[in-house]
Amino acid sequence: MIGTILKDLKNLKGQIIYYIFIFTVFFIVSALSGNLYYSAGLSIFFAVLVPVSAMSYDERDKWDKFALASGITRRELAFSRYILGFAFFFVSWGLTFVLLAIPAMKTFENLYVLITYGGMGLIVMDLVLPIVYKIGTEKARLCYIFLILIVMMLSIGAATLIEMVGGDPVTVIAWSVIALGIIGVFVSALISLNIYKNKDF
Amino acid sequence: MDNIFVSNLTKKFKGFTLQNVTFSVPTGSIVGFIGENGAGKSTTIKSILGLVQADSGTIQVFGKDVSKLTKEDRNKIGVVLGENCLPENFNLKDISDVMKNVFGEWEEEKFYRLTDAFSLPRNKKVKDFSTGMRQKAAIAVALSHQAKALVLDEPTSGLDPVARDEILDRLYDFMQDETHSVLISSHIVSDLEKLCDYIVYIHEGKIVFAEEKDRLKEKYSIFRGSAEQLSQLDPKAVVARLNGEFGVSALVEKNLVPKEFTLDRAGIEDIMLFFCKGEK
Repeated sequence: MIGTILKDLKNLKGQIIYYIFIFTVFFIVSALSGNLYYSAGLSIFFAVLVPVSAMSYDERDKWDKFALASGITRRELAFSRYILGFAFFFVSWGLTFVLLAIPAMKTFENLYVLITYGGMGLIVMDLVLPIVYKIGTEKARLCYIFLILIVMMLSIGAATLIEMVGGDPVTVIAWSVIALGIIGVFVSALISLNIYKNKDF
Repeated sequence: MDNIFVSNLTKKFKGFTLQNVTFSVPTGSIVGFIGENGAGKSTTIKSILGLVQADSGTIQVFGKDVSKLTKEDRNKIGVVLGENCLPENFNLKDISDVMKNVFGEWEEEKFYRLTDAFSLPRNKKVKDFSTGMRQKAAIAVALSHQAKALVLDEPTSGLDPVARDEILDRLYDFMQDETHSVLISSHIVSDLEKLCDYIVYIHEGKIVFAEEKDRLKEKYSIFRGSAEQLSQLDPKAVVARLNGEFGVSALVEKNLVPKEFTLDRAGIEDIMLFFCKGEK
């Protein structure tokens, strides 16, 4: 597993610099505008973009064939992309919480927007990764772009709803979304593993 | 003792079936796996490596069923899989850093010794390597983790004779240990003729023969002459014939042909050609 993750990080080395740059820009924009949607929204993209980019390199390099023949298990390969996605998602999402330290941003709405976006990031990853495992990064590209667009619309909708409604219903929605995202991880990982176990390379 | 043993391997695809493939790779030997494009070589190799799940049959590596191989067992198999499987963004240091975490017994010094011997530049990325350099890098990886068996799918394809010879030399070195063995598929039959102890020939998903190379050469010869001359031979002696514009040629069993007939030496490529294209 360490070998696979290290391989992904080395493969993505060039892109990671851009990810850090984009996140910094979004983080600053969020801080200046007093609106953390920018920074939190980006973490949803990272949850999908990073593992799918790693998988696209692996497809080009036919890495999975080599890895499986060399003793890395199908389980390790299937789960390693989730770990990679989590790592980038949690770092960017977690860092966005820092913005709540700014007194002007420490609001009920911002906190629950952040929690809801966290759940959405997980849900997108839960949905996209099994699709990519099944049909490959090229064929899945349209699928996940479409999915991200839907999630963006939902995110905007959720943010508006939170601002408008406020109070207990928002709390329930936010925690439900994140709970769904977390439960979804287990279901999604099992589906991916099942796809991977029956795959011929 | 066989390092690799395949028995009645069957795998069905749409439009192609691998049927009852049976052969073995004994310890201390090099087995050449030959056949036309699409004959089933890569599918067989992938089945041995657990990349393709067979419909039926038995595959054993180091005496264990392939599905029961541990990580440590798989680490003892060195692989080169046709197209290069090394990450294109990596240079040799990156490859070594990752392989350290893939193989329990990664030999970094040996890897650099081999890549230096192959004159591979350390700072260039794999994507800037030529085909030959990529194949050499893959061979260097396969030889740098204490493998006991090498499974090489077309490791010399697209290489010039000098590069091929360098790779074959390394395989000879690897075989200095009698517990080692190599299964190698290639279209370049002349390489296999130099290198191998056994030849396995697969045609349309079926094994045509799996024999010792020297025995094949002892067994078969080529008859060239007229159809009338050929008809004087015992039909049992004629394995396959090819009709040409100026006569016929036939692959014959040497010991069934009377001494007065002049026969030509049959190379592995000739034998393969007669089995593939000849009339029975």
